Amino acid sequence: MKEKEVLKPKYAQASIFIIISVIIVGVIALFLVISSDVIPGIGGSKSQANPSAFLDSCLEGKVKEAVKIIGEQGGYIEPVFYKEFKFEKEAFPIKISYLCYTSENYISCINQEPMLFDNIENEIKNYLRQDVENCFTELSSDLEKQGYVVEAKYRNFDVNLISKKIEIDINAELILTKAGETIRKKDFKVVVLSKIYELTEFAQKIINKEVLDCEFDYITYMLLYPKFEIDRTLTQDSSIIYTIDHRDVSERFRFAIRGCVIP
Amino acid sequence: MKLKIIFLLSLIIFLSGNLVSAVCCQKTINNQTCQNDVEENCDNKYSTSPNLCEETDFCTTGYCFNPATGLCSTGGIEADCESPNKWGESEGQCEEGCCVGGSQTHFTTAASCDILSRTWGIEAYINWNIPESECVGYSDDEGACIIGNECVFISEVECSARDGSFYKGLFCSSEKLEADYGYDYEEKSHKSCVEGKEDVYWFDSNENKEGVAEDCELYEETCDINSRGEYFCKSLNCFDEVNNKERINGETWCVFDAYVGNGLDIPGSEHYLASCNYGEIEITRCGNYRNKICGEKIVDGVSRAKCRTNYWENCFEKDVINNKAECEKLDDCRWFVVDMEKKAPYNNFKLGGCVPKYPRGFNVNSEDSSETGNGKNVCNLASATATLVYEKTGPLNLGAWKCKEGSDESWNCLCEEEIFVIDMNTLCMSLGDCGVHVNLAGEASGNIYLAGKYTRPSFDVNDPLNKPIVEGYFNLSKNKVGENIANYTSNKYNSVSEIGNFAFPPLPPQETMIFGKEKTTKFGCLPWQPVSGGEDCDLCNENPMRPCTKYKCESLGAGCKLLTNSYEDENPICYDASGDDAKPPQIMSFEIQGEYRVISEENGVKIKKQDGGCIQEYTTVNFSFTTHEPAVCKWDKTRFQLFKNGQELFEKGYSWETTHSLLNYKIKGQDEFNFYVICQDPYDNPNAKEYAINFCIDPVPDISPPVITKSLPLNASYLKKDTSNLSLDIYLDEPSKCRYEKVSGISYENMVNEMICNDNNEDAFEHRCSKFIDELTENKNNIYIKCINLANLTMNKDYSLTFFATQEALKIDSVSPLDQTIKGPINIELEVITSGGAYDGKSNCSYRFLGKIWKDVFPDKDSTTHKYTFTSLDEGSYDIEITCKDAAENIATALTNIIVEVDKTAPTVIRAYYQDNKLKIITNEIAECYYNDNNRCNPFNFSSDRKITNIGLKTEHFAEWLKGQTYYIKCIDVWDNSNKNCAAIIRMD
Repeated sequence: MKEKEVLKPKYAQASIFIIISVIIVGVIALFLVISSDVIPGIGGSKSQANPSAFLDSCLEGKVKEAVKIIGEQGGYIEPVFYKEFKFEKEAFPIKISYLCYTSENYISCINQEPMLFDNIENEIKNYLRQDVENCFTELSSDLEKQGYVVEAKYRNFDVNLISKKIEIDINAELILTKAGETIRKKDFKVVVLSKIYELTEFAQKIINKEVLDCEFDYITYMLLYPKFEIDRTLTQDSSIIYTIDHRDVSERFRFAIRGCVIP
Repeated sequence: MKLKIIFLLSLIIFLSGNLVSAVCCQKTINNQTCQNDVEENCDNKYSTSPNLCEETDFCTTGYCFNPATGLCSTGGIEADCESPNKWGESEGQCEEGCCVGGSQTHFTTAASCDILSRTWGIEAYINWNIPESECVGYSDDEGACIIGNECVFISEVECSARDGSFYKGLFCSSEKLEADYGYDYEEKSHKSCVEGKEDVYWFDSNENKEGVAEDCELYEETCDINSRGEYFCKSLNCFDEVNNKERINGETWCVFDAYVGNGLDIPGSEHYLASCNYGEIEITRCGNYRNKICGEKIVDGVSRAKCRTNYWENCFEKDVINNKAECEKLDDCRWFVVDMEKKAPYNNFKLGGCVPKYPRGFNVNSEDSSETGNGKNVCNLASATATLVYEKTGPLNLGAWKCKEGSDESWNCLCEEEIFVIDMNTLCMSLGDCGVHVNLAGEASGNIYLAGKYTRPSFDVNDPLNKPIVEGYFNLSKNKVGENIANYTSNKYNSVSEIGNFAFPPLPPQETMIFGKEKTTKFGCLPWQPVSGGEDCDLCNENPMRPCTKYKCESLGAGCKLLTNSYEDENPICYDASGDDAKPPQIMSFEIQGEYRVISEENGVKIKKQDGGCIQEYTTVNFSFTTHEPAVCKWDKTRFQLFKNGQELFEKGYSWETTHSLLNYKIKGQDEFNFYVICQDPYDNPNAKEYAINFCIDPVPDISPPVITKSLPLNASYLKKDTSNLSLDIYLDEPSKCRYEKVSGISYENMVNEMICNDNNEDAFEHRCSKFIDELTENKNNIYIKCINLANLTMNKDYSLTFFATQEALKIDSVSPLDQTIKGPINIELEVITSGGAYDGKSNCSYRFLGKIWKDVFPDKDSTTHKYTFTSLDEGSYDIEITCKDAAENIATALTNIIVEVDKTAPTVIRAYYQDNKLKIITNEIAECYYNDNNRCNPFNFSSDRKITNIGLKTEHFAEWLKGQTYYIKCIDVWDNSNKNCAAIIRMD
């Protein structure tokens, strides 16, 4: 009994210490969160420190938007030859491009887009055409606001799908002058992480199998390539819609084929 | 009915005469590829066939290879496979196998495996025997792999690739495996290193890796073997013996051949980057001719260095060269002025401005005088004329002429002293490889002159600045000049648009002329030249860590040559080429300007007037002669035997030349004057006997008044628009004084406007009088001049000059091409037409590319039409500024933008059909098309195969319609782009 009485104040003291510690940690955490928004980083804005970083942040959303649309629609922003289909779990029907098709029965499909990688690069490029120029203009304006005299020359850009990323090579030039000091920067590269290359390669693998073997054993391939989840949907007109989801990044590539149809 | 058949590239159409309802569309209007459909649904831009698609050639499917990814797709048609020559009906390079690179695998093509190899950063190889299911299933875990009766310790995937039986986690010396497979390896038999691993490992007696024997510290230690054959963890640090300090692994620092910075970099020297790379010091040269320099900084006690561009040219930018504040903002520039007033009062000569900290090296043997050639133009920035004032000394001013001293004015007397030469040479050296400097062997040589005489200031060879070393490398810290190492990073002012000039010193006040006379002395800064001979060539070969270069080799002696004359070889050899040539230079021809008779004699020439008489004293002569090989020639008035200092040099001083000139030399003396000449080649071979150039002199004294030989500006010149003054120079045949008036007929005595004559000195190189004349406000302004010589003989008549006012500004009427896009590759002729100005548009024009250093003058001089042809403009957008200037200094400028687009694609046949008993082909661009019926497009012979009958380059082409024939057609455009295979194959049924 006596022992308990002696211990009581120690429990209370420990509790107070714990509460104070939690408050201190909370205050520090709150300060860090608030200060990260309020206090400007050393070295000025992102555009001054690194124009590529500015362009990265300006374009990343658009690139991902393009990849999402293209991935849902079989490699096209606006499909021309497609199967319109509504999946049960999805709200609206979507246009899914035929990447391999024959209207005939019994024969293999004709690959409609043998240069699938090039086509996707072109589609992304067309989708971003205005945005890249706008971002470059925004970058110039941002630098002007920082007191630079900006001479900006924008020419064009290229899109390259590379394993695990998309590279946007912008052919442009900035000549920045401030307080008599002149800096020249040219040829900017924006890199957006994406698995569209891997998804495209896998889609091409499926098409190749469909052309050569008239089938694709998607269950086996999901075991072999656990990073990919494959869905195969057979539609009423014997078209097949493949949906490949990459488990690491929630990116998708979906396309339609029609071939080797046995009525 | 007119039968019209549409063809496309690579198309064979079988005309059947009757179309059926279902046809094969290469493309439908819905963009479907190769579908059998009704004809209305076919896209008429593409091929159509009445046959089923399976029966057509254009819908034959195959494999399409994408060179960018190395991947293939199947089931597509050739027309959709955009990679030329990458489509085939057989699998070929599209076959897939198991690509294994270290522990990574991917089932793909061989080409893709190559690309993956680069991505993975490890050598990958493809195994065709491993099926996809196995390829992607193996791990990179290591273990014992039994192959036949042998055991190797490798990864599971590699074991699989080698068809072995894998035992994960087991060493080959496992007793169980030894028992099962009947071999006997000794466990932990010895230690050794494993490639790519830092630790020391145990190995069994069959050289299979076992466990770690010694755990070496990552990035700080590595496995190595000592002299006793023992493996141990060796430190990866390096010992820098020159600086006597340890360098950690990865540390980088700068290394030099000699002193750097302060404009004193030695000809032939380069900057190097040293790095401690896993225990070994590696040294890399930064560039050539010091176009790249080494910058260094210390971070946490560790040196970080890199080679970077030397922005030396920025110092000469016209907005920087005379602007101290701008200059000091630039890391690679410094402010340096030769200020004689700081040496002694009454010397107002000042020259200099912004100069490089790290002068660039020049190519002494280049003919090009630009900054990337021999640097003559750059060196010339430090050439300047100093104006001295002389006065008569002694009672009643009857004594000798002497440079005036000790007054309130500046007389620049120091500008004739060696101190002036030394200071000006320091400025000269700091511009690049200019002036007189030591080379890497410590031998002083080079090229400067003062008042027409070549000279060399003395160098203290014991001064560390002049004492380069080739053993080890130059230790800056020992010479307390460590701060001269370049900054790690450097700012750049801009791309150099126009090189400026140093501001010239002001002339002394004119009123001083009442008491004295002016004398000018010109300092000439020329490109540095190496010493003759080749005694020191071997120095270039002594340090394999810093291999010899053409630049370094040729700086060691005029006789030194690089054996390979190439930077490509790892260790090119510098050798003394003197042995190749033991003959002294031979004087081959002699020429003199004017009406003279040249009489050849043994080892010399005699010069007389055409009538055989002797020339008048004070006659100015210009002559030149050639040598059979490059040489430096000297002359003296008396005979001399040895080629040594003390004699006079010819026009280009110590430059190795084959033509040697002496200009504007005034012949003086009694009866005769001799130039005794000796030449020496770069290999130290002088003439054994001097060559004598003899002039005989008429003994009759001068009874002629002075003659004005020319004026600048010339008579009848125009003044610049909206200006009413000019700076006039007149040149005379003998020492004289001159006066001028704006009205004619006034005697010399009554003329009041005195001109400033640079000398009354008989020894002067040229006799010039100058005056700044203002109030020239009329459209036509007359000036009348009279002069008096030393014999008090006065010109009887006025020398009259007229200067006109420019009425109209100089204009650039047109620039062509103006803001155009041009398809190339093509020669682009830039044409500029000028009008107005002083001479009806006649002017000289130049161009420069904005943002680049390209600039040049148009070859058309004093013309209204100026043309310049660019022969190698690459693809891109170019802003070109054109500046035209007439003789009155009126200036006009214009800008144009040229975008060059390079056509690299071959013409394609976009349509082909029957028309008027002919085969008509339409190409997408103007081209010439050829055909043969030999069933081949590769090889195709444009010279022997038949041309489709049209003249010149067109888009429409006609050939004879021969029923049953197949034409193999290939086209070539104006840029010589031709189809790799057939542009079209057409069968006429």
